[in-house]
Amino acid sequence: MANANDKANCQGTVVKRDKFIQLKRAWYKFSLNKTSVIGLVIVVAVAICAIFQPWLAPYPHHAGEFVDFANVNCPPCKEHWCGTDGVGRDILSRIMYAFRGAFTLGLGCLALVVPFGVVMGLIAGYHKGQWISTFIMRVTDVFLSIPPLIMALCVCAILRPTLFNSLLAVSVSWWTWYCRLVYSMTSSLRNEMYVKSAELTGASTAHILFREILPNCFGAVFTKMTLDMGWIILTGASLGFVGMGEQPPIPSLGTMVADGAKYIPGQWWISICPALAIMIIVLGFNLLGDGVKDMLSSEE
Amino acid sequence: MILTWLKRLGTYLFVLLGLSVLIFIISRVAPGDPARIALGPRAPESVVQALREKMNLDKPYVVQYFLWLNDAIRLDLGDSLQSRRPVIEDIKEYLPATLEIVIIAGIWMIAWGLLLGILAAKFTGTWLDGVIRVFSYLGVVAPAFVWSIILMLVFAYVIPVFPSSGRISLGMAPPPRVTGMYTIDYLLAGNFAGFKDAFVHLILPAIGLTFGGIAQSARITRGTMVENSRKDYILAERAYGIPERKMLFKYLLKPSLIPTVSVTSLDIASIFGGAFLVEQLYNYPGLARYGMQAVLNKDLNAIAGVAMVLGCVFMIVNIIIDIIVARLDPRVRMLGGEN
Repeated sequence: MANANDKANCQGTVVKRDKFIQLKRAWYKFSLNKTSVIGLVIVVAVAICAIFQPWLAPYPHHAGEFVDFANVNCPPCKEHWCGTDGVGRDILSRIMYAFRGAFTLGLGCLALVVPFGVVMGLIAGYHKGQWISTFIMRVTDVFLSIPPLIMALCVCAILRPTLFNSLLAVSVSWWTWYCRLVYSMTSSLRNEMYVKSAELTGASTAHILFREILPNCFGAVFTKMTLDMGWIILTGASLGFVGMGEQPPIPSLGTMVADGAKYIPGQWWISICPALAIMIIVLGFNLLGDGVKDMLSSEE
Repeated sequence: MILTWLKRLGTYLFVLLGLSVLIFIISRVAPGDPARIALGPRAPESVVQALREKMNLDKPYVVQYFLWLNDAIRLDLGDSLQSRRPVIEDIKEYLPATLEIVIIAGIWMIAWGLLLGILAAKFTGTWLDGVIRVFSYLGVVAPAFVWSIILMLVFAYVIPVFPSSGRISLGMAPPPRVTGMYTIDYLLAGNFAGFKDAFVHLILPAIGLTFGGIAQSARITRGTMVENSRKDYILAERAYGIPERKMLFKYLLKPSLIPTVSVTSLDIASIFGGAFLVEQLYNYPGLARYGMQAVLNKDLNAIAGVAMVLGCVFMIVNIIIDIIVARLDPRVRMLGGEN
């Protein structure tokens, strides 16, 4: 502790030290709950597997086009921890590669929907009671009037099946959640004193929205983003399951489960192993998200 | 009160109209010429041109939309490319099968969700609470199709107690059509063996769809009940000596149900969405499987029809949920709620 303080002092500025202490305090609160630490460990481990697949996977070249008829449908064993599939590819290596697609999908989707949804929510919440607000909120209702997965499938139907298109399809209705979240926060925050005083001093609407209100929404939005990573990966896996995601030979978790389902019950590992992989990654983000939620809510 | 509901009815209508615009846009921005797709690449240009005019594809988009809407209101959704029949006929045939699954899944989900939630709240901090908590994590981390595969593997192959595909066993005669739901039709025909057979076929796909919903509602029910049980009014009632059981169900459960019921709407949405994959997996001839086939074959009329019909069904579900919430929550009943 003293060591850390000295180090912070060496950097000279008080602000920096405060930030460091704040971070340290946040980490302490986060680490109080063991399950959230487990979540973090899972997420980091999966991310490492995805990034360093070529070096960590037992058979990295099995992720692409590859056949090895000598080792077809081999059950889980010492050489192949998750067994091999119908053309002899190592399933563990393919799962590790598929994590890349899952992360790309989650991060890409969030990058699309969060800015759009948040801005829409800010506008709708700040102008609550005016036509623009009613219009935006009714539009979110329209996008949620059919189940999100069905909406994603409809969008997928007219696009060519690629990872990017499935990302678009998931995003089409996903922004509405951020819009609703920020809307409900903004519509109560706009009555706070500091917003009123900013209005009185003649601050522009943009200043009030982005500098006064938005920073107060960060916590909730960040929590939702962590939890949503899991849900988006789940939805992406569902799209992959019907062949709407990443195309073969590039592995994707949903597609692998679907391919393996044909060989049930004989070669159960072909679909159960990627299914477990989906569960682990989503569980990781869920635990992490709950931890972040607890950490931020106890701070207030 | 009446004004509130009228206002809400207006919202429903607007949303339905918005959905129709959205579906129209999706089905028309599709790359490729629908007339050409319908007739195939070998058809002569003059025939394609004639069909284009018949389908109003030569008119501006706005005109096209209103013509399409006009037809859709009269339940004319065009012909399906796969079955070469009017889409509405296909929907009439397949919708009851999916409704059957969704209704059973819905009942199963609500029953278990509430039961587990109440148990976890009553025994907070005990091992039972812990077990239910682990279950609710497991329930939400896997999509419906993963649960269905696991259920299929365990209960159709390892312990073969349930069938793994279809609506009825091979060799069974379907019941005379009244509602289109086989279980009800068999009952109406007095055929109990048939009822049992149809019902057994529903169990695995229906249960596979519910894990996420059960977990979600158990978690929310527990959370709200624990929170409410710390409130002053409960303390006051306990001081009055009101029996614990009466308090639990009458005073604690009722207000705690509101968030659970509200979120049921989302859970039913995920049941509908999951049905698209699960019916495919179990080879169950329902509307969701039909829709999935339409998506895979780029059958735009069928996609638009299925989306529109499911939009309407989902809206009815939402209206029912709104009514239940209003019954439970006097604030919503009086003030119409927030948005």
